[in-house]
Amino acid sequence: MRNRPQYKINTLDLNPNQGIGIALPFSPDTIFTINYTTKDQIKSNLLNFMLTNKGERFFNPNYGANIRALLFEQNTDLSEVKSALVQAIGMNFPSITVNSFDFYPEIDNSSLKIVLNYTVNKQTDSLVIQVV
Amino acid sequence: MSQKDIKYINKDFTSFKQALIDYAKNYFPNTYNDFSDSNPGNMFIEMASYVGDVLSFYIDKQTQENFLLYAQDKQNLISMAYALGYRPKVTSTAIVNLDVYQQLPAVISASIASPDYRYSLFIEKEAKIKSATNSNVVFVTNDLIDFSFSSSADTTDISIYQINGTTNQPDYYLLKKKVQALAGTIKSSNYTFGSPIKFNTLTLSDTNVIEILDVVDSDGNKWYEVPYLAQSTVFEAVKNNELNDPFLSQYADTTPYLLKLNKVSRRFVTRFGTDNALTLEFGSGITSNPDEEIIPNSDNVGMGIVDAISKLNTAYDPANFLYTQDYGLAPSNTTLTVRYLVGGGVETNVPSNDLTQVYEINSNPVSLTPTSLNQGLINYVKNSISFNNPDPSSGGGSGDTVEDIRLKTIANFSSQLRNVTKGDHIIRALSMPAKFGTISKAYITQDLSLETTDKVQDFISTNPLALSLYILSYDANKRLTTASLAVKENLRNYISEYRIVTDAINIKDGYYINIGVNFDIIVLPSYNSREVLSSCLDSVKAHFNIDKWQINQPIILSEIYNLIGSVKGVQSVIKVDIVNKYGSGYSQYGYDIKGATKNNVIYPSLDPSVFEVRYLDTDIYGRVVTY
Repeated sequence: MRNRPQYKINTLDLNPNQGIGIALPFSPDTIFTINYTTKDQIKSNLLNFMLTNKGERFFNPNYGANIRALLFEQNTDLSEVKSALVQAIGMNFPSITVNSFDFYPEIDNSSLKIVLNYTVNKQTDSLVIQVV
Repeated sequence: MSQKDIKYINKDFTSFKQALIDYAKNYFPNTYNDFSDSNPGNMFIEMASYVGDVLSFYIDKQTQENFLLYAQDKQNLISMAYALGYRPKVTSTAIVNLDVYQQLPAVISASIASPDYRYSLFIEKEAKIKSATNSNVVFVTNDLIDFSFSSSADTTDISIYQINGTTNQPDYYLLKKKVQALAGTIKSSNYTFGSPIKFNTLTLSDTNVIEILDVVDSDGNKWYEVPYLAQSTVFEAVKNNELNDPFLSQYADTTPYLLKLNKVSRRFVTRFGTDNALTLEFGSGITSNPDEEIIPNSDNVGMGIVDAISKLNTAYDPANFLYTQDYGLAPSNTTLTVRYLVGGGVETNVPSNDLTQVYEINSNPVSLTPTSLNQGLINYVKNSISFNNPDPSSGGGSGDTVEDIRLKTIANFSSQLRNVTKGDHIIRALSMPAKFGTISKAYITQDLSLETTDKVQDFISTNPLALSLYILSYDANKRLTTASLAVKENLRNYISEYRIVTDAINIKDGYYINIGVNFDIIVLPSYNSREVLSSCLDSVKAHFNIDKWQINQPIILSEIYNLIGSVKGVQSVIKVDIVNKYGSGYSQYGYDIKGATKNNVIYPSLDPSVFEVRYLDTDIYGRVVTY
């Protein structure tokens, strides 16, 4: 009994024809495409969350990862940024577990690549964001 | 697809968002299920909710701005104020009553000196007086000062100014009059007009305009300010002399001006904008033809229509009426000179005895033959003119705030410049400016007069819908008298502007009943009888001050008993007698006081009448009696 594997399944995933929400990024052809699994939807949601700065959402000013503001603080300490983002993701996405959070500054391109590795519903996925 | 349930009662962001989520849950359960904040679709739901909230706000705001009680936008309130007859102010200026002095030489006749009124002056209106403490504050008089004229409403006080040490007779007298003045600076601007434009406007550059003084075109024609362009008549005061009215000029001593109603085609209205600039708007008349040739009538309507067999179903453009002079003329090919008063503000509230610096006045002798007078004396009396304000000026401040406009418009709306109720008629009659004659008492009732043999007069008198306006006036000593014909004529013109067209009003003389008051009192032992009696007399005089009495007001004897009894030192009031006085120096009509007394109340006559103690110093008689 103890070693029996556990599965977490969102009931929305039981019906493969049931749409969950809108996917990000938008499709260049149809604009709005539908995600049919919660895993894909959470990835879209995470991307939306990470790219939203605080104060951008109407009547929800505290929503967003606020990456731009965190990165362009003076004397930015990346470890502090990382812990702030992990905390924010934990609060907004309680169903996922952050496995790793890595920053790859690309000085020549004046950009930063953020790679987030996480687990949701016992499935591992990763999100890569390029902040210019 | 079946009809979907849509809610229309959402007003704010939260309720819109919830309604949209409910809608998606109900109608798109297989397309959209993630309603968390992070879902990109939620962003669109929130944007739609935001738009709904903003639109709701504007709908609410626009609805609110339509109501005088709730509007917040100043421009909307100003528009509503003008529509309801209130004229907002962008600045408030101080008003003050000034004492004006002039020395007058004495003339000796039969060894008795008296004022030589040939040297009395008149000072034209718009005399300018500066403040002694703030030279930027200038007050402008708003009426002319005529030292030769004196009435109860416009008295001239005379005192001896200088006595000749040799003859012991007065050398100079001092005349004192009062005049109202308001703070401000007179400015003038010219505006040139070319081809006529309907409802043309001009805007003054100043933003603190108090009032328009006058507008004159390059041909010397005067343009009149009216409350609204459809009003074609204005009041005008003309001097009451033989030239202007040979008959009524006999009453010039009590009625120095006659009120005339002039029909004017050159007129304009004024409107303040949100930038506090004053705009003058002129009429639409662009033709010099008289109205009669243009106003449609059965003969000329439809002229020029050649293809109509019948006029029964022909449409006419009512806007053609605008081409007449009904809304006044539009200025054309002329230059208008606009004189206006600017200023105001809290600094115009000056302390008493501060307005003493004569800045600019225009004075001349009243005499019709000034060349026969001594020029040196004329110069002397002109230089003797001085001004002073015994009381501080008041009323200066900023213009109407949003709340001021709202409250004043509500107050103004109830009056409407129309005589409808009994109170409207009385107040309007009493408010006629004093220079047109003083109406001291007014009373209005619906009654049938005595029948006459004159059929026309009988019809007028027995008109069951007619109102009778009973009036009385004051003489030079502020005693009641019947109003002169000139006063009645002025009153007729005055109320005609406010009268409802179907109202018929008969202006009649009221009656005054002169009385005397005799009373006996017993004084408490420890009080001085003379002092107590004097106090009682003062109380009774104050009670019978004519300002406090109105037509048809009864005398309640118990009030007089209480009045005298409440004076300190009075032990008891033995009696109070009211006696009728008539004949020489009094009213020509006697009155049966005893017969009119019921239950200690003396009622006036059935004909509207007022009780008057004509000579307060001699007609009230009190005695102290002892046991």
